[in-house]
Amino acid sequence: MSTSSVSVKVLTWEGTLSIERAAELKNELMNAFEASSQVVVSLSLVENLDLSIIQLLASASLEALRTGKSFHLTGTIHPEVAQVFLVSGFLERSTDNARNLEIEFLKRVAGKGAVEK
Amino acid sequence: MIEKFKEAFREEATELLTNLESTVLELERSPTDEETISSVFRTMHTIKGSSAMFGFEEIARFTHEIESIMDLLREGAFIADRAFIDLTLSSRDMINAMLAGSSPELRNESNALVEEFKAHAQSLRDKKMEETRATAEAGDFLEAQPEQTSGVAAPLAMAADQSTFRIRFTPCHDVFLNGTKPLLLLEELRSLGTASVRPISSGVPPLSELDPEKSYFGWDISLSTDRGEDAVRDVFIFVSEDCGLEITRIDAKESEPKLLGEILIEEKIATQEQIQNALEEQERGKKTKEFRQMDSTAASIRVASDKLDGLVDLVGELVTLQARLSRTAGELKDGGLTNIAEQFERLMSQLRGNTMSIRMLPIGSTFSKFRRVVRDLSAEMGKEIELVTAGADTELDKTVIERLNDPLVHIIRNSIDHGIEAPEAREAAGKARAGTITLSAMHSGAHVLIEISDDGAGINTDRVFAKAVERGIVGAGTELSKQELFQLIFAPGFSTAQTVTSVSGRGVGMDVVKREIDSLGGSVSVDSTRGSGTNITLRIPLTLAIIEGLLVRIGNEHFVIPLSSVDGCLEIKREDRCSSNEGRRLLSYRSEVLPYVGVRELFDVPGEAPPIEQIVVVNAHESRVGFVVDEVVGDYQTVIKPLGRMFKNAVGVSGATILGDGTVALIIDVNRLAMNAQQAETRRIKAERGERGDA
Repeated sequence: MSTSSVSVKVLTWEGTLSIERAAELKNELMNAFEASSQVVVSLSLVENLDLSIIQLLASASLEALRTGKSFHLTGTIHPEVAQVFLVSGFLERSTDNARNLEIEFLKRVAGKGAVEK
Repeated sequence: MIEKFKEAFREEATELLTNLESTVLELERSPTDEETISSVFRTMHTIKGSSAMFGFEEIARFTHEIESIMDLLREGAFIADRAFIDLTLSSRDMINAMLAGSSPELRNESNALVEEFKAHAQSLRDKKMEETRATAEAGDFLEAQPEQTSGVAAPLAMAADQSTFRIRFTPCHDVFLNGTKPLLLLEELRSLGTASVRPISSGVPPLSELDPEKSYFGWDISLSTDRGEDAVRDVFIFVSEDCGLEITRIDAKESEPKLLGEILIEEKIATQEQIQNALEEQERGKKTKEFRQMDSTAASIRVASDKLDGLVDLVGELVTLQARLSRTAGELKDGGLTNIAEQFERLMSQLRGNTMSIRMLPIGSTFSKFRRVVRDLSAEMGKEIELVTAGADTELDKTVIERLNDPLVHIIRNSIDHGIEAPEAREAAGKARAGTITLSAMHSGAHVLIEISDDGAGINTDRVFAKAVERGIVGAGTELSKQELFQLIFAPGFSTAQTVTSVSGRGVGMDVVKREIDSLGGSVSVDSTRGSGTNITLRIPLTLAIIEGLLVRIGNEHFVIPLSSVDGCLEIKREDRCSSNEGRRLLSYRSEVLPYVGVRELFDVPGEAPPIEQIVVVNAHESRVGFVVDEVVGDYQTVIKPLGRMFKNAVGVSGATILGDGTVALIIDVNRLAMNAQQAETRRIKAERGERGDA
């Protein structure tokens, strides 16, 4: 986890993420939202994740919508991570680009309005 | 928490495996029955899915392999032969072993089994293909329609049977915590056919309100598959009931009319959106209805058996207490109290009946196990045997059923080994090659009769007698009735098999059977006709915990005689007893000779016998015996308390009970005492004959 600027908080998640870490990651996100107006989660180093983490991402994007802040995904998506999004129906075609993932994912989670730069 | 779910999985899996065994045996009988084949497949599939979900990777991997083989069978790639059934049964046993725990050896074994199974399936497949080709060629030659006769037609026909399901799956909030992985379920659904999965995330709250360990997602899935509704439902079999799950078949068959919504859209009367909204509303309505139904249809629950045992113990205590209350009320002669005591008694007897019925299980679960025993043993012995069962739904106390298992296995083994002849011998005797063992159960009063009969050679009484003499069980010159000869096979250390086989013939079988049945308070009787078969009947009490007894008094002591064995009561005057005492202790009862035993002498009860004594006549071992007591007090419902280890060897007593006034009464072991009395009588007669012979 590192901070690249005052207003943008980038969270770099790593490894295999599952329910055991959901609470910890939620706190991380909450703190980030409190500290800055733009929160970015980098998924490059995430090797696998489960539904609770996807739910966390969905919930974070809703939080951003509600508070007028912004939330984005970034990085290169690991194939296994993409597979989880595929199986659970949040993604239609496999992608390694977090931006593509974000567009499709947020469209499904929060409606089209959530997808803006 | 996960551990708890693993345990539940183990339990469910064991149940599935038990059913699988009988299904596989069913498959052997009708190898082409599609319903049976898909049932086997479904079971494997369910075990695979759920074991993966609960972290039993080894089982999942193994079952996956077996499932693929079953899939081939289902597609009609070949027909199961005996070796295939053997391998399927071995696989079932393997899964069972893996459930208990994993080890490197087990892993190797399972791998070897998979290889063997695959190779066999392949060979069957090749054979079938060759046959198909041959048929097809012949068909071509005859200008028939080869696709109707070829085995390849089956999967084609199935593919035409596509149907689409709409599945709405909303896992309950704690789904992440209880070990169910919705992802795996979705993956499995996708493997069934073409699925479009649409997540529903409208329930997800913003981050600040989110409990990160709860699940808020749901899914709308539309799945097109040729596997049928059962396969779809099977995916969700381990999903707990409070999860929202709706499975609707939306295009059952082509001939079925189109859905109203589709027509409306086609005719442009309504827009897709309107329909969707209406449908969702409908579905919501359906859901509430389903929830309401679910409440009322929760018809059965699983309860740990030790909780039941605890309940039975408590009811037992209450029965005793109730007896004391009735007695006290009687002594106090208080009308109000007597009224309460009577009402209490009535309720108590209902409560007792209800509690006992909770513990009743159909005996069929035991029966299905024997199918496997018969199958495996008859193959080993080179005999052809069919097991026919009847009355599988007869209910018996759970503990009784458990304890019946071993005796029944012994008896059936004996029937297979000694009873049913080899096929050639049967043909020579003019019988069908295959022998039949019939296992049946039926209610008879407070007892259940279990009958094991075979159409084998029958008991060779000459050989039985010769053997008994050789073993020193009876003297060489003894004359025995047919019944007595049959009873010899239950003598300890008796075996008539000429060679010791792995099946029976170690001579430990039948006396163990007898002892076990005796300890259950039951009895064994044998009937046999040379050349046409043997019939063994077990008479087992419905329950072990509570008996209806006849309370009797000798001096100041009370005893209980199980009411189920009581035949009648009569009086005997002291002078009659004295005169008969000189000779034999016999009297005439219903124009039969009745031997009798004085309970006073038997248990050394102090005091003088009254001038007129009572004789309780009981049925034991196919004959009647009388017990002389001072007074018959009356009917007495009683809870059996086991005697301590110190009294384990006490002869003639099977337990004890606490009476209304708090004193202890012994329960008389009728069978044992009757046997002793008869033996004593036989000895006496023999001694007399001997004397006369000398004179």
